[in-house]
Amino acid sequence: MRKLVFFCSVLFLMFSCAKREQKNVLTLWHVGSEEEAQIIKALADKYFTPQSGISVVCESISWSEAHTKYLTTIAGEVLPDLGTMGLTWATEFGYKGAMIDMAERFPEDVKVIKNNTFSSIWNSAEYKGKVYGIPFDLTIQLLYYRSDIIPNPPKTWQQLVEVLKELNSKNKTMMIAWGSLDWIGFSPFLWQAGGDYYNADGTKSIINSKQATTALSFFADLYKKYNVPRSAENFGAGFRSGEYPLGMCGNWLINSFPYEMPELEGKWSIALLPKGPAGKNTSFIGGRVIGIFKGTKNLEKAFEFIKFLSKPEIQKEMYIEVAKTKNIYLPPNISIWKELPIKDEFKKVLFEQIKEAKGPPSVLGWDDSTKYVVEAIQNVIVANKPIEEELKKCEEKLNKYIIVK
Amino acid sequence: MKKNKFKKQLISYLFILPAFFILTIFVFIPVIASFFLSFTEYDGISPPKIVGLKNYIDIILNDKLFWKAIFNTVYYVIFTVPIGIACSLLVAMALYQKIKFSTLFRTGFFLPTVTSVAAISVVWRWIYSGDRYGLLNYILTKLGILATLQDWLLQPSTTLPAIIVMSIWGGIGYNTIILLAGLQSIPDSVLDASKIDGATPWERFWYIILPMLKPVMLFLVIMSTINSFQVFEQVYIMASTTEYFGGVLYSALTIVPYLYERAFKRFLLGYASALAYLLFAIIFIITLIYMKVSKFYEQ
Repeated sequence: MRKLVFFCSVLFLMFSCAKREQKNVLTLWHVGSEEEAQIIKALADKYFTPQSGISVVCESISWSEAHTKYLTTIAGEVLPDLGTMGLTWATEFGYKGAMIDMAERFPEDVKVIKNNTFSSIWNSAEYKGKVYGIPFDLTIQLLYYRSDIIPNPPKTWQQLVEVLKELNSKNKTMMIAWGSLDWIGFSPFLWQAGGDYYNADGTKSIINSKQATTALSFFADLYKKYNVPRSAENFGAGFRSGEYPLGMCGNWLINSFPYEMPELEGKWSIALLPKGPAGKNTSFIGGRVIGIFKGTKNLEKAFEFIKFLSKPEIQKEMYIEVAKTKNIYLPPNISIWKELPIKDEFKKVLFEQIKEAKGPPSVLGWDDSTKYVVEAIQNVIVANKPIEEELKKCEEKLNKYIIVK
Repeated sequence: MKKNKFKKQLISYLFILPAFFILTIFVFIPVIASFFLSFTEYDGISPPKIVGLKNYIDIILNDKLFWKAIFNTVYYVIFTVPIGIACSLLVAMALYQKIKFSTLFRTGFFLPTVTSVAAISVVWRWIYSGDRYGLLNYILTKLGILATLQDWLLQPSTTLPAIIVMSIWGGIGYNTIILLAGLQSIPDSVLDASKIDGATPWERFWYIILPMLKPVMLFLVIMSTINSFQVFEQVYIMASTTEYFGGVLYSALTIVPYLYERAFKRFLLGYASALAYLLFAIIFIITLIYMKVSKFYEQ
């Protein structure tokens, strides 16, 4: 009997280790690398904690499981105070009732931050006046080229075709290293042709348009006529060998290429995407936002911390620290760009491209619809189906999944 | 006396308790809960809404992707199980002969089994990689077998076969060890007797070894069928990106990855539970058929 009592008390002890309430601690989940999480934590320790008396715990979660993890924790109501997340997630979670609308709670401060943030990224973060997430960083699709092989990077679609023809004749080609065969790779072309996924107020899909047809047929030609490979795995190796002297990829290679291929120093650069028939060179912009979860006991302090992270000097320091890890952190804060220690030729391109960019459409239901866009793209490129028919089907699906709230 | 027995049993129960406790929380309760969830619409956040058989009807009648996944899964099972076991039998027979370095070979063939499927998939993804940098393309073009480079994992016709080849390779080790154990349990006297009676090696294999391996083979067939129906990591790692799932145009979408997508990407938990129970029913029926067939042959 005594043994039984002992056993039960052990069990009881195991389950009674309930979470202690910690008043002066903010927990932040960071989607991204552990190194970045450490950097945020270090910045907080250095500047935020001494002045506010609040310490910050920062845990990293990987991109691949982050969305799932947030949804499960929303269901289980075991959320942190703050979280960084994919650009469109905050709106999604906000409409599930899991996040604080900062535009409502802190209208003045949000306005200040908004005015100092690139509108290309802000537009994807805000949904009908509600702000569940504030831009934390940016990722932008760029054109990488080997200047020793292609002295003049293509500025228009026509020039791109000419360059590709010449490259093909030498058994070389271009690579779409971010978003091959999917909507992320296709979107810039759609926008450059003057098309879009939805109309301006997000109530109706307009993907079945002449512009979208032009865009998709051009995108498909890249693969079918000009030998752009479907896979995007070996861009680094091919760029180095000169087999893929041209490529569209996210900005993350800017700081890693010099480490991976020091011998190419001075032989490569970045350029704006080529202009399409609509005369625009719109690029795809992604990034992360940071938001506050409902149920936090430290709402004011949590927002204080977001404001802290939006400060120009903090974003600059973050850029410098992240660069030491061979990665790149692009601040969404416009005013700090002049001071960022990026090579001038790169900075100019980055700044211009970020201004001329669009993020994923801020339409509820978009995340459930992307697979139909991907289906249309793949049907055209891989299965040789007619473009108009695919776009028509795609538009029907997109319309079906729009959620109007 | 009786009290003593109870005391003895009590201690046994206490030993079972921790394992039982864990199983209850992580297996029994979820199994029962998902059965009830399969009759509801549930997104994990708002309370489940009972919808009766709607999920099952929707899956069977309206869900094209489900049928695509079933087709792909059956395709996968049909090729992986028989070819996998045949290859393993070949290897096991070879290792059963008393050849030199047989322990070395045995270890070599078993290595993929102790490697995690995820790690294997990452390596094979590179082998199948689409351009000149992919190992398979490199070798085949160097040998002159292939004229143009193939995107093995990015074209519908080759995605699933590529995964099948990898899975067969990965499964050989385990099957071989089990078959080898089966072979070693065949008494030498039987084989010696057949030699004296003048049976050729082929006859010995066909009329003695194979029938005596039957229980082991049945075990392997059932286990590999169940495992193959549940194929997941290979598809998840080799044929999915953050933007699309199960290969280009769903060419490698099998049932468990589909279930995962429904449950943990879209959070249609009721729907996914119904899928899980349909998968359970399919595996259950196939296992029953195996058992019946093998009983029939025994009689």
